[in-house]
Amino acid sequence: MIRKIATLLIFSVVLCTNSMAELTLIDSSREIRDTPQGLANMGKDLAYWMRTTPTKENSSIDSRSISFQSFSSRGSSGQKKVMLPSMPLINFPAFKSQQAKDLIVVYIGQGGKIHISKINSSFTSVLKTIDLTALIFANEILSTTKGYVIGGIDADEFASLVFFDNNLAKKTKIVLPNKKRGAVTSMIFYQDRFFVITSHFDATSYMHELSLSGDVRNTTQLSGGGATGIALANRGFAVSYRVDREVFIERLDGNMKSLWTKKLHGVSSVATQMGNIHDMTSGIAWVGANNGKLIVYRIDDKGNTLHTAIDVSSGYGVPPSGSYMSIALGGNIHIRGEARKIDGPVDGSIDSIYFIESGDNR
Amino acid sequence: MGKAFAPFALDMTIMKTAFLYRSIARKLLGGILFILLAQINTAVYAQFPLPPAQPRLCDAKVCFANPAARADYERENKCVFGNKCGDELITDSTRQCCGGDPNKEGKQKIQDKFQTTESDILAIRWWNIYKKQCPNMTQNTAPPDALWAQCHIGEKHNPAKDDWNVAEVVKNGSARDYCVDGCSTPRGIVNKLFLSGIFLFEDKDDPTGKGATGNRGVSTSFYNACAAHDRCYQTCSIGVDQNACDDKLLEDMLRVCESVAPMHTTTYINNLGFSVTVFTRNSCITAANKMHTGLDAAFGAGGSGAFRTRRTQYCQCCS
Repeated sequence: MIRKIATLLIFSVVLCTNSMAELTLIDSSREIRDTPQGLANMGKDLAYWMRTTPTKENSSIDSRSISFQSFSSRGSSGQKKVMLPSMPLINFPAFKSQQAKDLIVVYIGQGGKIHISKINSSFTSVLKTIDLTALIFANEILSTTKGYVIGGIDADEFASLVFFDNNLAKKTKIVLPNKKRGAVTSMIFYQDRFFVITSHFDATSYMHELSLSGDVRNTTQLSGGGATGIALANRGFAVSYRVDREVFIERLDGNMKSLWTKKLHGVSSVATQMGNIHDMTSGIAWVGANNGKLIVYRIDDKGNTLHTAIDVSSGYGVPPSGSYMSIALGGNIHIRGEARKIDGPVDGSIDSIYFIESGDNR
Repeated sequence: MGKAFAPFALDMTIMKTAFLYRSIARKLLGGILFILLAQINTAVYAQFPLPPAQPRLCDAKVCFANPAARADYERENKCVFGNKCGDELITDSTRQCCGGDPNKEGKQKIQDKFQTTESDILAIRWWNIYKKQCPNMTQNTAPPDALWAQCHIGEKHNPAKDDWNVAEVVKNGSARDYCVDGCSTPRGIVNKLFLSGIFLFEDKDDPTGKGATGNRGVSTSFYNACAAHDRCYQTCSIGVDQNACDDKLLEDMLRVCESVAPMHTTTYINNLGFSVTVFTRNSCITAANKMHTGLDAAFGAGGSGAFRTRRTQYCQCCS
């Protein structure tokens, strides 16, 4: 009893001193089973939430239709559906666009094959589908002026990039340096320069600057593994990584030189494998999970914590994939994912969840 | 009297001797001819071997309720049902005769035993046709053929298609043994599920169970659910279609997940070298869903292809 009271007191003190806020569950909907989902960030505050929408046909469930709707929409408003040639099995890799152009979705379909489907701009049909044989797993897609770049793991389990032209007709594959087994975990555009973060099976990670044709210009080893990163508007980069059981966020300048490093937390119980970082103009936000709960940190440009928000009331655990989809819009952070309540039904169903963190909802 | 008879007796002796010589000569000649003919026959056989005598093939297009009824028909009509299917000849062991009683629905038709790469919709259409052609399908009691004979523990059931070896051979009365390879999720998909964090372990039969701190051991294994699913695909009944088998698999896998306490966690090293902890039940449900989705997706190496292969391989329409 005394221990419980002490814990409560400590928790209250932490709440008061660190501006701890609660995350607000905005929307949730029951899905009959885990469905692949993804985020397409088209730039200029335009982002789509992508997910398969199972339908029952001929007494069999057909999940080949993929729906697109604004990431910040509620329910099924504005939803558009496109039928894919094959049923996707695993979540879609994040799509990031540098300018308005047709988006591509990458998915694992028949017999474990990876397909790329180019969707028309009105989200009514698939323009073209090709197989992606150069990679066994894709983590991220970036559209550039020259075409598309897909980052992931190749058949030899090396971190690799595949460059496609705009028509998905020509491709070039490059394996990133430091011949160590690993994956491309982030692709970044910063002031017309192209950067890639690779994370390796030995818990190390590297940041590389490349030309758009794939020539490596510069490489820096980061201080931890399982790293992700973003570009900050004219302020360099923010990267997040793990060192053993601790999660850090680090600011780098435009030449990948460290400005400061901050420990976010020690990993406790169920936690996300890699967090999402967002540029909040006046600072940085980190979205992930720790101790079985969704957590958002807001940090200023000097490394001081502004707010910490934790989902303590929804009852939802961490998504089975271990990661959330999130975007920053107008100072708010919109977070989606699929999760089950810890004591929920064991009928295969799962809930699509949608949170908003506004930074001041104390 | 004696003298008068003497020339006659001599003549008789000469005649008997001549007859004897003629008889011996005829037999000798016959023997020589026999030997010559036999040699000629042997030479002919050596050059043009005659086919072994074949019973007449029954030409009736009819199906029988059971092997005994067919045997009665063959005995009474002094014919046998050979490897013909209607008017067509079955030329290899990869094909079989399927067809319903022409007085009911459909007619006999030769079909492949092996799977083809068809889409889900086509596979469903195949099943709709097949169950009409084969309304009284029964377990196959035919002798092992080239495909079925490959069902040996530790070897692939279908070397051309399967990723995993047979784990168990289960007796099924006088019908073909059930061939069980457990959760035969294609290796490529298992690897990708592992990379995506959905499979905690690259173990097709136990993706969420053993092998790490906090594990549940074999109690989280999907093997029994998958073995029952293997037997379901190999069970001949128009009432038990692929959806019925697949839905039962999901139900059985979810029952395994339900046996895990809600707050139970499993810790493992992920592919980026870090220790990761997950709620075991949550991961178990997702793994079960993904395996079920993979079957629904009717992948060439997964769902409907496998169902079609097993049904055509294990079931017979005409006994």
